[in-house]
Amino acid sequence: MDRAPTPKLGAYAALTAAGLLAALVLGQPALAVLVAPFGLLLALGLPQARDPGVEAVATLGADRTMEGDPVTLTVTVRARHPVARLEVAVPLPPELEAEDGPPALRLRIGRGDVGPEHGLERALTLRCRRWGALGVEPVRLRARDHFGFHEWRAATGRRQVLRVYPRPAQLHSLLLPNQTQVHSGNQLARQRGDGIEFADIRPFVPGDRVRRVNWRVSARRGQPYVNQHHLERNADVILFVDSFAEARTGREGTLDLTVRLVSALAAGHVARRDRVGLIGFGGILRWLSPGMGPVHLLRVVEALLDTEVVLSYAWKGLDIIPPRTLPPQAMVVALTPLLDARAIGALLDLRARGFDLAVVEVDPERFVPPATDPGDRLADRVWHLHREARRARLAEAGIPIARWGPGEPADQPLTEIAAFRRALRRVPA
Amino acid sequence: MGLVAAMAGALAWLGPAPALRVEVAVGLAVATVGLALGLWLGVAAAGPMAVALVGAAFAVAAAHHGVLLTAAAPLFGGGLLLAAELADWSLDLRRPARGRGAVHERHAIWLVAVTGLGTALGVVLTLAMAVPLAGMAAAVLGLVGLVGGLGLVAWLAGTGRVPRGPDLPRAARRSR
Repeated sequence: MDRAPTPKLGAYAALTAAGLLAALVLGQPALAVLVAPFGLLLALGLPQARDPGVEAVATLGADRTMEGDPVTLTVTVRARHPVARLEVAVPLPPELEAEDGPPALRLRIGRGDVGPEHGLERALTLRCRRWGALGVEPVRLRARDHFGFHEWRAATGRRQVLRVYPRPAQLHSLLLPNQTQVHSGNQLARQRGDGIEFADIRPFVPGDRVRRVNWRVSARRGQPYVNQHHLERNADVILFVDSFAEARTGREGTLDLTVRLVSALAAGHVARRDRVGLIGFGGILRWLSPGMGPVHLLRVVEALLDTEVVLSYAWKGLDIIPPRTLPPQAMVVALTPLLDARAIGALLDLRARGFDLAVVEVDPERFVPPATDPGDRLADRVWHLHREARRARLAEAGIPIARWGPGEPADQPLTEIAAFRRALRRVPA
Repeated sequence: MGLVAAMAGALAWLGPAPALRVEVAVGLAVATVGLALGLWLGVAAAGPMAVALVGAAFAVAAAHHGVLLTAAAPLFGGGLLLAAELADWSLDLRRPARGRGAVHERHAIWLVAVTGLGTALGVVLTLAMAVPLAGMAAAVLGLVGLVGGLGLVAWLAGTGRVPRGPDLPRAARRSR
């Protein structure tokens, strides 16, 4: 541990020296008597200063948890020598809050608690306020001797990372992709073949299996007919997260809503045996090639934890995204606050390339305080008009777009998009 | 707590030494205001500075009235030590932490013991100074103490007073 004298030691030494000097110079023995207690404290305290050899380890009760859930942090303190006053503090990120008090302990280690086999254990309950990969730094120690003349400081233990998964939004339905892939899944394909869902009937041709023959229709029409079924295939779903900018008020922002909805969408599509990919399009480009299964879902959620808004002025287009991340015939679900023109440009480019695209606008206007003075109101109006123009550009390109804000059910934008897509199909080409 | 201790020390002294009452009362009032301000701002040197101020007021009053030694001096010294220690403790307690009752109890007992010891030492010195030869010995002892104190101050000035290790995180530090 790093030892240093405290300001108190210097002050007491100066007081004693000044008192004795004044007593000798002025011939006032009473001054010497006044500072005698301070001198006594120095004489008693200085020889007793020794390194207490304190070590502390903080252990998290879990390395993965859900947003809003509590986690126990156990702090174990060991010392070679007794410590009169010991402060143990655990540096926590702002997303982690200690319940029932500060994340610091004030301890006294007595003679009975000293030794390598003895350890004082204290448990703190932490509450995870926000998702993310949260780092708990090494424990900081500050020990003082009885007299407060010396202080020892140290940082012990190792950095730990607590992965807090976002609490997914509640979803009851998912978007149906326009086109499916070749692997079997739970989506009804437009193509006909072996499946369960009835699609149509057609005349029997040599090679058809007898079990497919529709006997009622065959008897009515006088020639054999067979049933046709829809294939059951999976789909490729790419979740596109716009992380160029976000609007935030206090603990919640558009990025938090985005991550919760993406998490729910990924879980829903993986449950339907779809392949799910992820593109984090922002100051830092992050991607995850499409995959399926619970392990891949964990990968998607883990990748989401690293999503953050990084300021960047570099113009970025679709050409920087690896081609394998965007497979042909994939459905792209984009979540964007429509705050950055680069993301809108990329979405229009995706549409122009023929991707089945749907946009959920995570509404940033809910996070903007209401304008009060005329200048702010004018700026607010211009901003709203600007956003309307961006929405209109996407809608003109045939991209279904729906707004979603805090406190609204997550099914709402998906239902709106599904209705938009049905309306598009009805419009003659 | 420091303010309470300062008041306690003042009351302890003001009774038996009426000759020095006015000057020391003024010094005490100024020191109390300074101590209150220093504690509110979180200045670590507030306690010792207030003590120095009261000590200076005592020296001026004693010189003015020609009082060489008074029986109240040990009590006054003990009160000053208690004031400085309590001021230091109050600053220490302002750092938010989950404390255990035993920590504070032990420190309170230690504080009482140290104050008692300091006062007892003052009484012994006061009694010793009444004897002519012992007074000379006390002067030599004071000289040794002076040299030791100055040496300590010089050593601290040379090494620097700021601890170099990692400090406690912001959340665990004192908040005003």
